[in-house]
Amino acid sequence: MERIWSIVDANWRLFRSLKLTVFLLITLAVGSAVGTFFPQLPQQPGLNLEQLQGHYSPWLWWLLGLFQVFDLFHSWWFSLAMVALTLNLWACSLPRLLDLIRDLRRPMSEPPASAKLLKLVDLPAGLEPRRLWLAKLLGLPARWFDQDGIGLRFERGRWGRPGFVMVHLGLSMILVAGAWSQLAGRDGSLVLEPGQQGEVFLASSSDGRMESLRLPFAVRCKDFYLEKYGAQAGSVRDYVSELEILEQGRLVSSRRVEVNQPLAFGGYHFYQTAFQRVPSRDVAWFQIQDRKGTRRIQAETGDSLAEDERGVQYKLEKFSEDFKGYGPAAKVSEDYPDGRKRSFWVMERYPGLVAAQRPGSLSLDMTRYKPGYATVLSVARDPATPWIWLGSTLMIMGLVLVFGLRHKALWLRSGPEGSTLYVWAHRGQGAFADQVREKLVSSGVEEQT
Amino acid sequence: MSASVLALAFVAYLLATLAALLLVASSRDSWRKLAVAIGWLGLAAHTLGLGLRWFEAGLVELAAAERALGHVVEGSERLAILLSHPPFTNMYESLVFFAWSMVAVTLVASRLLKGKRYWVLGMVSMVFADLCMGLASLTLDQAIAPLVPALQSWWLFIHVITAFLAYACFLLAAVGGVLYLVRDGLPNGHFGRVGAALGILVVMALAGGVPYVSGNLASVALLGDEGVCRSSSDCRGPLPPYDCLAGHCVSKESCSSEVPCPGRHTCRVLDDGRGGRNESRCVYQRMVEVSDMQRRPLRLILPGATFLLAGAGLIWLLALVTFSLTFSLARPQSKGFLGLVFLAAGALFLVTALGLGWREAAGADLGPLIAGGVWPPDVEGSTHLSLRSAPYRFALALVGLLVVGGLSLIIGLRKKVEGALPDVTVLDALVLKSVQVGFPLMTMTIVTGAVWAHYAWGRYWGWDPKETWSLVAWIVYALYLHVRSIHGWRGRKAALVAIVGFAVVIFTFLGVNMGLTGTGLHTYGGPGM
Repeated sequence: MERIWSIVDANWRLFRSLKLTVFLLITLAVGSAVGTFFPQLPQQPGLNLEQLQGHYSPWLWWLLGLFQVFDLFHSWWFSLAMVALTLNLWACSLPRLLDLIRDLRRPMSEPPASAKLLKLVDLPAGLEPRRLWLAKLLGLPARWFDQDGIGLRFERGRWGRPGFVMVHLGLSMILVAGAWSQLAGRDGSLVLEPGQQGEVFLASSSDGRMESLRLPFAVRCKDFYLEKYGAQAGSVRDYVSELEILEQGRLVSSRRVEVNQPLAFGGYHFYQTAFQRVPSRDVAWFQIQDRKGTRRIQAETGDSLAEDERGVQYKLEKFSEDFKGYGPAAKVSEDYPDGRKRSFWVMERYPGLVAAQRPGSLSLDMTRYKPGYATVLSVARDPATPWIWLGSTLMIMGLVLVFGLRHKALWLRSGPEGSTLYVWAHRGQGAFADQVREKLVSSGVEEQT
Repeated sequence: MSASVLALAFVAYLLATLAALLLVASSRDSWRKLAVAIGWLGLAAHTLGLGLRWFEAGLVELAAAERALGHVVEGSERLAILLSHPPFTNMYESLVFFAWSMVAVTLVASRLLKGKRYWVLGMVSMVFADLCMGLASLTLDQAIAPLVPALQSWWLFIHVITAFLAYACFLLAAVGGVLYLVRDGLPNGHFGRVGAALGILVVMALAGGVPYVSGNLASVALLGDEGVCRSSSDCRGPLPPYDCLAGHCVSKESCSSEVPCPGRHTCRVLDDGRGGRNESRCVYQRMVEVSDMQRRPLRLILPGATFLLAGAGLIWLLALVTFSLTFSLARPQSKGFLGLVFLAAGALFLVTALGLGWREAAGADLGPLIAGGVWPPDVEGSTHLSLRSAPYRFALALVGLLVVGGLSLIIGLRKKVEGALPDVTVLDALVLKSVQVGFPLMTMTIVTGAVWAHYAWGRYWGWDPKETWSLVAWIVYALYLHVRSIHGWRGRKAALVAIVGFAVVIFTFLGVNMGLTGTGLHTYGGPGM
């Protein structure tokens, strides 16, 4: 029993020690730095390890494998360090939490033994004048000082004390949530053409493989379009998907998704990440006048467009996004009844050329060209995310309290030997005492050492 | 317009530093007042320059939006678009903004700290600011282009501003740390050795290692007379766009006997093989293959320049060795004169080399090298100056050596410098306070970065090199706070941790972008953070 207790005690002391913290932080820092110089499997799933192996000598390869350097951030030792750090954080903050609750309940009545003593002379008589005098001397509002029956008392910043615990617990919350993310989180991508719907997305699992996961609902891309700066060939300003969520075929939600503005539904998030060109989905509108009459049609590659009075068939062969610098164009094939084939290009920006070359028999103009795209959506499901935000907020608020609101106190006690000012601060007492002393000395109130 | 105002700021900081040096040399207080005044003027110009840049970028965004939407934008939407493009969205702007935040934070801090001796912090930061702005001027892509979709977010503002404020605080801490070590009595020999080692490390790492000094300076190679390609992205000639047809780079420009091709192209008839119409197009004769570093190094293309560059490198190594020997072995009052001579000689070699190199390049008909070659973009199709390329590395090497030179000057003029500095305890407190302000800001930077990443990319943390290194910096400062408050590692050791922390911050800011850690989500030309 004794032995078990001493083991527990030793562990407890280990996890409470600052030396462990320093060791773990250094390990994590150095480890992370090393990890950035090697390609990491989760970020590059297609990494060819066999090929990499050739670059290293066998023992070095073995060493790299031992430390799982190519998936360093999920390696055994890195994860172990994170777990140890979390325990370390708890061991250091939870006991302090209990002390804190006790300390916060009531204000400090007596100066603690660690307070600094300063001797004062030339004080005015009477507590009330002294109160005003001391407040003015130190440049603090008089109402912050009160009489505690023996002398004067000043205490500020008591509610800054939870800061320390908040920082450390907040950080531990982030670490735990991060582990949960890694175990339960799934992210992958979904590629949809306009009009297409999907229920399955490709995700990378925790060991670097790709797996297909099924959504509990269907996502349909109603439309996808690019906004470009300036001309057709200009840089992309934004890309937008109009998405619909369908449950058993019923429309449940519809939303416009663009970069930086995701869609959240059913615990899943859909982000506009990128897009792909799908030339087979190119479509254009044509204004046609031929022997069948005048009309405006929409056509895709391979569609028949027109027929002239000689029986020549005009078909849409293919598109070009930018034909010789003249802009979007369509290649139209002429199929003669005798089997001859010719072709020509129709350009969106230069209408009327066909009509000019074949007056009276055919007028064919491309009025609008719409390149085919598919939207590439990132799909992510991570139940831990709100806890990350909570932990971060807790940590930042805690930091503001720790550095901004310091718990300090002053007591003025007078006796036959003279008056003593007790100066105390929870942290940074030396600096606070120096500040107070500086004000006393500069005001001419001598301090007897 | 903004560029001219920023140039004013650059000059002002330079003058302020000169005035400061004069103060140190002559001990006349009027120099200090002048230095501080010029410094504040410089900061005002810098702020104005950044404001102008912001406005100019807003105008570009407005024009682009109106063109995309097809109508004029009015009212609050117009205002929103005008404000949407802050001045820190590419490497050039980031460096200028970083410089501004350094000077602003240190000048404001030195004012708040109330004392004649804090001005020196402002001066040191102005030197850093000038270095940053000098680096900024070396970037090729200084133009304002409309923002890519991922950067069109208000998180851009919050994340980047907190980051730069944090970095500025950490710079203040590092400067305080260095001054602490100077004041505290760290022996000259230590300084000399540490400074020399640091300088050599910086020169070697940033300039690419020993091969650079030995003359194998190629980032590109020139291949034969017939340009061959595997895909159109291999073609980098002066007449884009190119198709890679049958292994040759063919421009989309057509040609004839009346309309000949420009230089380094021949007009060839392309047979489409189906009896259809043939067309004549310009075929590129020479091609630059970016990936191959071994075939034909720069020393064969720019012989004179390379020789001089190698010479500069070697002379600077001599300077470093001399400095470290001087301060390790010699008497304290030695000022490292010989080392300074070597430093100046090396600088002269460098300047001559760059000038000669430019002339050689012009004369050698190396258009393809300059257009897409010697300073090759890392990201295909981008016009960013590659941070891996020769001039950037030389500039950074120069920075490394200037740091060494500066340290040596401090050592040489140590007595006078010490007299101008505040007390040791005060400096130690300054370092602590700076970290106490910077650390929450850094935490916020990482958190806002995570939030933004969550909205843009779908995950709040991906162990991207930039993210990882900012975490490393955060850990270093967390270590600073811990070992300081509790172990009692005050003073000298704390100062060293603060300095190491800032080195990590610099790596986070520049090193990751230089591609030293491979590519990640942050290197697509976004804010050069």
